Amino acid sequence: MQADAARARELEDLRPALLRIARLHLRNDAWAEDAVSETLLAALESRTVFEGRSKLKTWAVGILKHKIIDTFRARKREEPLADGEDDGGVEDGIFKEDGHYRDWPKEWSTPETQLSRNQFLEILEVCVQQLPPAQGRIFLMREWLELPTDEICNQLSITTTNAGVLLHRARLRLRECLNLNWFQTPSA
Amino acid sequence: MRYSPFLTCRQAARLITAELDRELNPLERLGLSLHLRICDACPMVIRQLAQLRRSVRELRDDSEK
Repeated sequence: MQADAARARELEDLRPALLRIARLHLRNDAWAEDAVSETLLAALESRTVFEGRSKLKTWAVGILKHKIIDTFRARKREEPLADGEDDGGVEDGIFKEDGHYRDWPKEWSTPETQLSRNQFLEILEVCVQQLPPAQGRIFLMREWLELPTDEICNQLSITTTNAGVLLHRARLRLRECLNLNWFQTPSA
Repeated sequence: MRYSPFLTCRQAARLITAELDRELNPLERLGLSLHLRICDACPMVIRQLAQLRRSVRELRDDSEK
């Protein structure tokens, strides 16, 4: 049983990293903690043998992604997960009444150094966290979990149109957030 | 959306993001390609959204590593 104790410790060390991913997706701390605890338990019960920590983490993240989708499916009855938050304003902020961009889009630079790349990704994560919950959830299902739209609609019980609107708003918001917090900064 | 072949940037943006999730129908494709021929702003937005997609995957791969 010593092996079990060692595995339990290795898994416990993964908790903060798994929680960060779960919180980003689920946008609800209690759900995220439940999903991570279930993931760690499932990983502990498995007899799969791993060489090295990174493989253990990859495997645990794989379990967590399934738990995240399970959570959406289980919780959609008690809380509408994507009820089309009233957020039509994002388009009005970006486009003039005649349909043109208020601010002419500028070319985005690619971060050149490792440091600026990492800083850019940190800003991106904060921008994702700041999305309205329904937009953040569906955006990450699409772009992080890479689920096809029809599967997302199934899991969340929403229409394709609703999903399209939420994804559109999420992307416009992220574009604005990155423009404001990264690409307009002189040092970027 | 009504399918005038002359789209505004606001309408074009909806098709640009939709194309990240699904195939456009022939009318949508035609409208967008006509618009892109006369618009300098929207091609830039297409590149920005492609960079957004790549960056989210980088963030994911870093977080899961």
